[in-house]
Amino acid sequence: MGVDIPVAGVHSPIDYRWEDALSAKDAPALLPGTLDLLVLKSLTSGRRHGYGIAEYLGEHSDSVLQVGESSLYPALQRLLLDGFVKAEWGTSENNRRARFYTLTAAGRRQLTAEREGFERMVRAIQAVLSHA
Amino acid sequence: MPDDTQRLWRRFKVWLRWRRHHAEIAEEIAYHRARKQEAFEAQGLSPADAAAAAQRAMGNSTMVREDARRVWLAGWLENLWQDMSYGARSMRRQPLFSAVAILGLTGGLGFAAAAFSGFNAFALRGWNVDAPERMVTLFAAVPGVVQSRFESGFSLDQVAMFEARARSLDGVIAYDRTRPDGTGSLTAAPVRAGYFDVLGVPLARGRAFTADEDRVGSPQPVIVLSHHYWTTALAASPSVLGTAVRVKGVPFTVIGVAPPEFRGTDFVGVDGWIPFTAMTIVRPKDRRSTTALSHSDQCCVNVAARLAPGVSMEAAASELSALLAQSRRPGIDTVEKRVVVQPFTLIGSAGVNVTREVLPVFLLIGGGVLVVLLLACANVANLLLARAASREREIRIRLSLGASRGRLVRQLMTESLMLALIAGVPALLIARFVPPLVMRTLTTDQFALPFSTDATVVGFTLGLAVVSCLLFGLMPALHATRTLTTQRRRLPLRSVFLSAQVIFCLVLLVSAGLFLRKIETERMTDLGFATTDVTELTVSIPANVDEAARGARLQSDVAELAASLGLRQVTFRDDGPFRTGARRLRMPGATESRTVLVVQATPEYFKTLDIPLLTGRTFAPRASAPAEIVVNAMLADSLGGATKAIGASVVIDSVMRTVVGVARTSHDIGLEQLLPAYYEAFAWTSAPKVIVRGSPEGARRLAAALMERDPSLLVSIKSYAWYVNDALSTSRFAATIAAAIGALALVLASVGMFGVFSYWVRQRQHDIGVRLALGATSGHVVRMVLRASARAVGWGLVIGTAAALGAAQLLRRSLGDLSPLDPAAYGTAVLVLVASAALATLWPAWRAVKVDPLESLRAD
Repeated sequence: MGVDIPVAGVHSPIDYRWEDALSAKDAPALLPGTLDLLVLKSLTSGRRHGYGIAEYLGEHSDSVLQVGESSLYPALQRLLLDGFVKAEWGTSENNRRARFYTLTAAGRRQLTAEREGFERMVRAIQAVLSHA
Repeated sequence: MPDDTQRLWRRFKVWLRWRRHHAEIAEEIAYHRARKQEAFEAQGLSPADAAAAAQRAMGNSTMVREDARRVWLAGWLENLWQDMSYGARSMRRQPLFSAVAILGLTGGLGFAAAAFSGFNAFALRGWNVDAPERMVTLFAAVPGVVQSRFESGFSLDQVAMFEARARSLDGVIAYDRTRPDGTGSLTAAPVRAGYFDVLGVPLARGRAFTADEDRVGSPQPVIVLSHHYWTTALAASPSVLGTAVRVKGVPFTVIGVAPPEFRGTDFVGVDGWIPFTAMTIVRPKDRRSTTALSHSDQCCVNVAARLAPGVSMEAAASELSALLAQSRRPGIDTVEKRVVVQPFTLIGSAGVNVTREVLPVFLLIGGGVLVVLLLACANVANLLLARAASREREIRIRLSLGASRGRLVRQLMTESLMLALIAGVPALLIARFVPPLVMRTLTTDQFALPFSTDATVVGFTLGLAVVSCLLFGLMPALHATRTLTTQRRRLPLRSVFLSAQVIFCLVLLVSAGLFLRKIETERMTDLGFATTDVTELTVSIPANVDEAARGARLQSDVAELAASLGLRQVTFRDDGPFRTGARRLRMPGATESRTVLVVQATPEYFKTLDIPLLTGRTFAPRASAPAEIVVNAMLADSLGGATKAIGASVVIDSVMRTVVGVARTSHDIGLEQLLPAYYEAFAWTSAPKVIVRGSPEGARRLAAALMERDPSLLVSIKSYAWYVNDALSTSRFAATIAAAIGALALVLASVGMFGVFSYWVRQRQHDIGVRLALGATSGHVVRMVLRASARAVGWGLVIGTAAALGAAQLLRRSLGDLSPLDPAAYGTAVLVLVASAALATLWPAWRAVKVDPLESLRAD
């Protein structure tokens, strides 16, 4: 099945990440694949709900990374589908019902792998940029 | 890959709770927005501003939800879902179109499904015996000779010989189609001992009969009941074993009950199975059943066998042929025969002839069904074309917004598929209920056909729905989505489909007409004997009495009572019309013999039934001159002509006979064939027929008087008209089905033409309005509409007539004497079609004229 109508088809994860990156108007474009990595990272210190993840990413990037909800929630569903995170309903810090995400063992492995890949990529880019 | 499997599993779990899953995502996003709003409020915004800001920051939350849930759908599934919900919406928007399309398809598909269901029951249903693929039927064939239906079986001696000596067989069964049914009692099929063992059918209760119970000379009155009879007539009585049931008045002891799914080796249902030799108890004097027990030149019993594992049918045939040759008795088995081995099919088991009768009917129905389906498809295709015209704007917009043609075709095809599948549901209902109804009303035999909408029928119907959707949907879909570059001037597709409808309809109407003409000509056939005011009394003489004495008494009783009732034309016969025996006849000194039909009657037979004697006289009663026979003109011809035949001697079954008369050939065996036959003096059977010429009332009084005089007699009454009607049943079956097909085709085609021209007129409403406003008369407008239809219909009629001529050639074999060029059939078909085409066109045209020009102009 080809992708004939732009919005109609489901894209492979890679395509999707590109689209996420391109459609994030309120922040500098994320490098492809980085949103999943950052979401996984945000969960290493414990379970968080969607809003908590967005908050975490904003805080720890000095508000540079403003993750749009339009990319965050599809990304979370994708991670659920891949089995990297688990979701459960719980009570939030202000006593309301919220869905919390936890990292799974597979998610932890994925984080390590992606992180290494990402760091290699960054080093490579820096090497190219710093070449006189 | 386990990873993929796990993903699939997770997907599946989400699909199971799809709605809830949605709600959770929505709730999660709502929570997010609430928190965001609080954050804005904390920054000092008013609650209203904060809400608006949060809304802005979140973007389109519907899109977010859609994106999030799309993760869980595979691409094709999502597209399908979209297409289907879109299709459902557009079907709802045009309910009339959808209803007409679905109705037409239901007609086409339902008819096909019903015919297939019948075919399934006749030919495809599994047979509940052990390893049915190893079951074969055995026929005897004379090399180089076309078989008549009387010499294709074997004698029981030969069956026993095969069983004892053939290594290629694991067992042999023999059965007979004769049904000792008597009056109102149960019908039992005579089968040889070992029947259930060889078939591998375990009895539900009790046991099967042993070889000891099936011995010539000491037959035992035991019976295995069918499960159906046991449950319906005997209320599934648990203590049924050991009780007695009556077969033709003779008590038989129940020793077993067959399993529910076992229907025997014949497609006519039976209530039980009795030992073959028990026929001598039920019909002690019936030559046909008793001589079959001893004489190998007295045919025939039906024989089936189980091949030994790994043995091919060819190997078995050559071994059995060799065995048959070895066992030939000099002077008796004068003709060399070989054994033909064929796969056993349930219908085939009923005799090759029945298959020959039924299979062409199914081929014809299948052809008709196919054409009806094509017609329905052309019909719907045309409707789709018309609808596409009204959806042109929508399709153009979608194309120009960047939808690819493939995607749009897929969308349109999904809609077609939905139409076809929806039509499949009522079609299955038709398949479920119509065939049993048809069989009940159109056939006189009690068929034990297992009609059911099983997986095969459902699969066939759904498959056909998909195929037909391709047939009717693809062309219009391609047509509707063609872009300027692919658009070329060709034959207007609409006219092509319209002509196609006319063609298919004409073919079906002509075929139906031919079948109706056939039955008409058959009804008019001069049978050669009288059938009006002829009544037949079947006198059942109780078993185990001295039949010669009883017969003589019956004859004098009948003569006396008939005289007292004023019945002057009365004769005895061995069987009903179209039912004869067969004998081998040869010239004295010759070795070659041939099969001839035999009718046994009293000397008054010819006079009673108005059969003219061409020369000579009728035979004398058996007591005075047993050697005398009358031959029919056809047999006389082979004896050298009518005059030379008188006084000629012939050898029949090794006995010298003398021809004393020649009768005009009559239809002794059926409506279609005339065969050589001879007539001889009546020998007593256990159920002689008394033929009474005159008012049926007189015959009824004679029956009553006979039973009054001898209360042990059972007399039943049938008219010769009933036999003629029964003989016409195959033709009538075909004619009724053909007429139904023709009617259905006519309705489909008329509705189709009407639909197309209604659209045509509606599209030109504006045009017509302008013309009328400018002074065109209504005659102009009507002519304009008619011109548009006349071209397509005219071409359809021309090509359709040619196609019908071709189809009629295929039907030739089923038409008997009727010419496939019968002008009445063609003329009527064309007239009917032209008339309905005119109606289907004129109505819309008339409506177009009625349009107020101002109204139609304002509508735009």
